[in-house]
Amino acid sequence: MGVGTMMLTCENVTRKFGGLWALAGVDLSVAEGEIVGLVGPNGSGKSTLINVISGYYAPNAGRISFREHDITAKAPHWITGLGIARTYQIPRPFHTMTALENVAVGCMFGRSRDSVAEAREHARHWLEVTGLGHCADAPVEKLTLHQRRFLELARALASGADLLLLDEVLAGLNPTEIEISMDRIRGIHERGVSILIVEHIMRAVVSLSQRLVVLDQGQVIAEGVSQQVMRDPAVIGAYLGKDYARDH
Amino acid sequence: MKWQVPVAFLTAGLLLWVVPWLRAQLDFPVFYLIFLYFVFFWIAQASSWNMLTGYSGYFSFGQGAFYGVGVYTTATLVDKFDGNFLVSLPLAGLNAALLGLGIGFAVFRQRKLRGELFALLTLAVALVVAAVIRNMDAIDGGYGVPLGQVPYPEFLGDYSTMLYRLGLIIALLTVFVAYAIQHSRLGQGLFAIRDDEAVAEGLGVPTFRYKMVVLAISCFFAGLSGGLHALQINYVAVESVFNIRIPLFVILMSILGGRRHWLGPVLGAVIIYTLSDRFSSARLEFLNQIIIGSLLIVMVLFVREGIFARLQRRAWFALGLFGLVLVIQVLGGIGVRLISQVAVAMLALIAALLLPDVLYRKLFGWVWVP
Amino acid sequence: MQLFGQALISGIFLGSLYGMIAIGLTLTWGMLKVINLSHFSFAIFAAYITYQLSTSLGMNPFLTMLVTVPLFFLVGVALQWFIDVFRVDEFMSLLVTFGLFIILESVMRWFWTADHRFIPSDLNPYLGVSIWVGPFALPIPQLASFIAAILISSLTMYLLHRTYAGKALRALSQDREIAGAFGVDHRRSGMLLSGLAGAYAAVAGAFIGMIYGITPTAAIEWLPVVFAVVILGGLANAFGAFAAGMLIGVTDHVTSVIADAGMASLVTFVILILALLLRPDGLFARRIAE
Repeated sequence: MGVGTMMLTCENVTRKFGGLWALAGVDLSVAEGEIVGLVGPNGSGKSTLINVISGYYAPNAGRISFREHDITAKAPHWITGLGIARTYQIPRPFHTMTALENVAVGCMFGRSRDSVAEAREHARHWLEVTGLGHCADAPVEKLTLHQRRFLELARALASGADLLLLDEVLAGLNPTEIEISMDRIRGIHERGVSILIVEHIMRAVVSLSQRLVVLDQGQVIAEGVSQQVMRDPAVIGAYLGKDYARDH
Repeated sequence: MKWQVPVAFLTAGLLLWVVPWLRAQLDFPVFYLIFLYFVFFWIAQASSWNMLTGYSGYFSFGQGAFYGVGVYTTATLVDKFDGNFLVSLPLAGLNAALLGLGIGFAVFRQRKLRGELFALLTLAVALVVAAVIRNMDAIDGGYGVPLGQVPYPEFLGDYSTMLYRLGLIIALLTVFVAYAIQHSRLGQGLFAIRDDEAVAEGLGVPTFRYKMVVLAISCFFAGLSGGLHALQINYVAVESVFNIRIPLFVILMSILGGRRHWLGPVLGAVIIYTLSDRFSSARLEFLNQIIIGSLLIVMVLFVREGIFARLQRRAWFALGLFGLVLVIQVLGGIGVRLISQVAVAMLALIAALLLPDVLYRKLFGWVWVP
Repeated sequence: MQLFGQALISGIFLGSLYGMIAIGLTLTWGMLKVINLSHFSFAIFAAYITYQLSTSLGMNPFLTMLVTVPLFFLVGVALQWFIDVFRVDEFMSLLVTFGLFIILESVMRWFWTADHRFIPSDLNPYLGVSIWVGPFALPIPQLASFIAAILISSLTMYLLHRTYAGKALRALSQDREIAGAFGVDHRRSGMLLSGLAGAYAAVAGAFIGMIYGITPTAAIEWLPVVFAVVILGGLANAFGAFAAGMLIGVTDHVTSVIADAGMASLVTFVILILALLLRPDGLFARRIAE
């Protein structure tokens, strides 16, 4: 796939829960090799979009395609098989396993379909890539939040993801951890993995992303190069209130 | 899998195969053969249950149903259709597996609340199966099925020896399969499902398929072991087959031994059956239930991982204590039968393993660990 | 026809007893997330105490409730306290109460042996006495249990929907953290609720002792049917438990009349399976989807 071709395309994706429209017609795309940031105030539908793309929820309307496949409302494990992996806001490691075993699951059931023995080897490699090589045999219960976030990342990479959906992977980290994490994310991107990153920490996401998409109340209200988007009055209004935007 | 493993299992099997011959030579009471048959039976039941519930986290209350279907398949084929008993065994397993798959189809496709639904449904199915069998004259009709003398190949030995040997084979098979699953992709996938099914799915684990496979295997062995047990029971009746004992004991055995590892249920089965048998024979049935109930509570609250994990950490201490207590009894002439002495030593073993880590380290931390 | 009508009435009475036992279970399961298997043991133990007090002390079986109800109220409170202190979650509660169930069964067997215990009719004057409405007999103990069941479910509905503590508990069962943030003392309300469930079990037990007689394995006999009632009625739904109890009681007796007793239990369990498969959302309606 050449860099620049469309990798992930969401057209008019809609999802409601009860009477609430979490996503009200979202158009979004990620090109091969891009890092796209997805931002918006709380409740704007960012996590829901991740859930819909990864197959956990089916959209009520709209279409999602990944490379030449239609992945709308397909089963999660099939979508993973195509090369999309996601992480969770609150890390969800397999809590009775060690870090190595966690990542090994990604190796065994992702695109490479390793055997148990191969998986153990490859898992070590992925743990090195994310800086966790030294805690491979530690039970996950003993890992810090920061380490668990990167464990999730290692696991997602191990499953052969070409597109990573990162769901607030920097929340709750101290500034040093955030810097380290941003470096690692850049490192992963340089290996050729495309990333859609949902984030609240503005300076981080603006620094990491080539392009920003802003959601508010289930709709895209702005999109484009990071600096410009953040100055868009509609965006400022969504975050800080319409009055602030008007006055500034 | 390393070749050493099947060889180890085979060797254990061969050694145990000749025990009946040894017994006859050394003139030990037949009681020991029967006792060991029951140990094999419970090992098979507990292991089969654990490979489903322990590995996947889907709690099954239906062991009674799968076991019962196995018992009645053999009983019906042998009594009502004059079938060959040995042939009926795999059929018993198959029937149980089909029942399990039916339940799986109904539940595993749901997205929400699969766990609770599965637990309750297996409970309900166990009740329905019992009621159906009681009502169908073609199978039981409330009258029971008398099996009497059932023909079998001569090379297996006399009746108790035959039961012992077939029970041994079934137990070995079940445990071997439990081992194999644990070390395979299926096993890792199941553990992932147990820890977080949604995430496992997201990583590509084929959850529906894996759950159905382990369910079928688990039920097969429950039914297979049940089919053989029909011969042990001999007069097969609904009340004795479909009571609380089987589901209760397999749960307890696996919880005691440990649900993450294939050796857990084996350990649990040996200990619980031995204790239970000794309490019954000493007419302390009352104490038996109190201890079992208390053990269940203590294990669930304080030792959730089971005693096998602790045994691995405190091996020398615990096994040493077991050996010590046993030897003292044998040399001091305390206790009536060897098996009772073993039971007492087991109690000491359990006590050693239940000791909280903090206390253990303070009191016995100096015990040398190689 | 008369047979059918009588079966209907007996079914309603039996159903009210099912409902009475089910209410305690459905409350603790639905609101406290505790699946209390020993609830049945409490009921049967209360029945044994009723038996013992009426036969040894000649006490009127109804009056024994003055002893058993407060006693099992306290037992319920103690159980919930234990569960809070040890942070027992829903799944563990099933196993832990199962352990308690086994222990209680063997205690009962030890004191009272496995013989069927029945309060002799000279000590139980109401047994066998019926009010006649036309051709139909309404035995007094059963009638009393029916009235008790109605009172209990009405009382419960009132407590849960009209009192502050009740509403707080309902809020709590839907979202523990948020309710806690509003200053709801969930531990105390939980213990009170569990105590209430225990009290209900004692009432049911007194009637079981009066009407049916008891054995140590009685708890296990009532268990499956009452579970069916709880599931059919919906968790934490006192009125639902009462209604579902009626439904199953009637189905049970009417099937016995039409077919035979063996079929009756089969039909009950099939209803249970259908309830599980067809309305799992109704069962767990209180929980919101992820």
